[in-house]
Amino acid sequence: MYRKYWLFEMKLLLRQRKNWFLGLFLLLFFPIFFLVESREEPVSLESQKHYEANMLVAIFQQFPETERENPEGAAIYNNLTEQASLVNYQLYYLSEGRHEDYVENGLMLNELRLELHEMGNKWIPEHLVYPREETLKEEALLSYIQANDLPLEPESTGATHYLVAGLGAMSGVVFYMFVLLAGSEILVFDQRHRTVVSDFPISFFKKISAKISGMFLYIAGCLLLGLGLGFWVASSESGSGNFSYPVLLYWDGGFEAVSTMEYLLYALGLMMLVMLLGLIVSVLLNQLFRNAYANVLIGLGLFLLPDLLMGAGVGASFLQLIKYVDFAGVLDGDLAIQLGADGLDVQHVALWLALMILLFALVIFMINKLTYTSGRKVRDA
Amino acid sequence: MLELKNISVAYKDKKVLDDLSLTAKPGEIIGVVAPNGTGKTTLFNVIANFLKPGQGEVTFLEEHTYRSEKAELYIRRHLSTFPEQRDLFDELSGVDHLKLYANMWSGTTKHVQRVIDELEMGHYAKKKAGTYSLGMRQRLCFAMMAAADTEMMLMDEVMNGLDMSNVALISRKLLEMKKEQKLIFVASHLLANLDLYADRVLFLKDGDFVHEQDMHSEDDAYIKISLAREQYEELRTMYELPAGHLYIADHLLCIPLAGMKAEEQTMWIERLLPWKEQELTIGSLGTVEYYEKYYLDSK
Repeated sequence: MYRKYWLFEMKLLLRQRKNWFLGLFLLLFFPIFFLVESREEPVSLESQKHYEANMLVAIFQQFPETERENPEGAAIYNNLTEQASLVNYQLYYLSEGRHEDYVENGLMLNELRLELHEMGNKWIPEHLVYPREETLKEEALLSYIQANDLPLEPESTGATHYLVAGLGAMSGVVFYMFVLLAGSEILVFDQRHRTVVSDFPISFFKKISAKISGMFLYIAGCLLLGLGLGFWVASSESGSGNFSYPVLLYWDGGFEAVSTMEYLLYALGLMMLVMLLGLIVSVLLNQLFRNAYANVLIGLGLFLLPDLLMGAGVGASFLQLIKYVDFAGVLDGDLAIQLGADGLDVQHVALWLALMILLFALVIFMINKLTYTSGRKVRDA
Repeated sequence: MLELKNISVAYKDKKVLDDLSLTAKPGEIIGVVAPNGTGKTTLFNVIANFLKPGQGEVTFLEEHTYRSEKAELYIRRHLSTFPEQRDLFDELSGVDHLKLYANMWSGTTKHVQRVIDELEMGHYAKKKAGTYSLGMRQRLCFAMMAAADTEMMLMDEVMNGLDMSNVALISRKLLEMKKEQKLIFVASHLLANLDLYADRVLFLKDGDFVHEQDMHSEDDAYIKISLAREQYEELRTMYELPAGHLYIADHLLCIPLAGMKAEEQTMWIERLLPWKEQELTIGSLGTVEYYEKYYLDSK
């Protein structure tokens, strides 16, 4: 019977125009993202290296002559001189296509930058300091390329790059809002057809599990189709790219380079958890407020509340958990830096998202139990 | 099969059901009659557990009560309630609705085509419900109950919006269901129609059943004649009317024949003949007359 009920729910879901539009959004997001992004000129490695070279020239110009005489100043100056030399060599290797040498020099350059950080970046203007996080990211990338003997891609323009960037653009409030919209009528819809559906011989939990799993599969299916469509459009224009090319992942307080495929799998895994969380929050809000608009507004309010409270000087760190829906921020380490929590990597966030899902499921169960025993039945699910 | 024991429901100060009790057995069609807003739907909601009574208990098959969700699911497998036509899914076809109810309760859709044929829905069942007329939607709601094919059915306002031919069609189907030992509760405003298929008609007033009309018992016969209030008063001045006579809703005089000798019965018929422009019949009181007696007289 559950299977038949589930099929009925799917049939209803597929007949609703709201869901058609949501599906269309997911299908078109990645192709449109590619069309917009492909108009932007990508930053080449060469121009990046020129920028770094210019930064070093600016540092030399502002380095105090008098400090070059003392041992500490001399060590820093020598470090900067070696950095400048390595950057210029990198430019030369790029122009010659000697990518292995470029990578090797890059690794040495990063060692020197880290040494400089250990020395405290003395006498270097703050705005010219090459950030430690960026150094660690670059080191992770170059080590991965060297270890896996991958060709260096001087410009990130392949379809795989657009997939990673597209998922990043969707991450956070956009995707969370999308799920809230999709789930906005998850129980409320039945309210409009109460006398048809309210006396089915099926338990409340089976009903909501059918609704959640149906919507989950619909969103996941549209998302994967949209990714496929985006990949197809991007690859037909700029090549398919390389799924083994490294992408940076924030892991255990540091940065690790992983293959694009691995990154995409982590991103999709977190998206699935965010989807489940959004849908279960929708069930709870529908149960409490019985209103589709309230679902979206209160759901969004929960997301914005930590920032508002922080602005008002009220610390409510447990509310920061809702920020975990920014899966790309988690994978890139941006969220860890923003919230000042070193341990906030993919494993940590996945665990907390799963715990929140279980917690909300428990709350829904308790509310249903209480309303049943207290005599006010939940008839809309 | 179903027992309601001392059911009371109150909304704030207003008692809608007051210590109401009832027993029903399989193969019965029970009509529930009352004006709007007097508790018919509340009674059905209590039976279906859409509403918890403040007091009392509903028992199915002598042992099952709504004490837990698990127990409720057991009861639900044997009970279906009549859907309201405004709640139908406009984007689904009639066949989709029928298959849904068939799958939910019977676990199969094999009998759906038979239901469609029996209720003469073949020409529209595959179209979307949003395109149906009021009567077509009502027939679909009834067909959904037939597709569910449960042992107990609660049908609130089942004949609403149906023309005479469809009322006859559904009445026939109700009689068939009765033969299949279904227990069916019907709330309807088509009172005369209830006489065709109901085994009992219950009259709900002030939260309890004020009268139970048993359609199979040999009810006392009456001479029934429509008389205006002035005519009735005139008749009273001319003759002493027998004890137990009824003057219902300011228009119907009913003189009981029980206990009268044949000559006396003839005498009363002759006495009423001067008002022969009015229809004079002999028979027991029907649902319409009882309805008028209990609800219109009190006004």
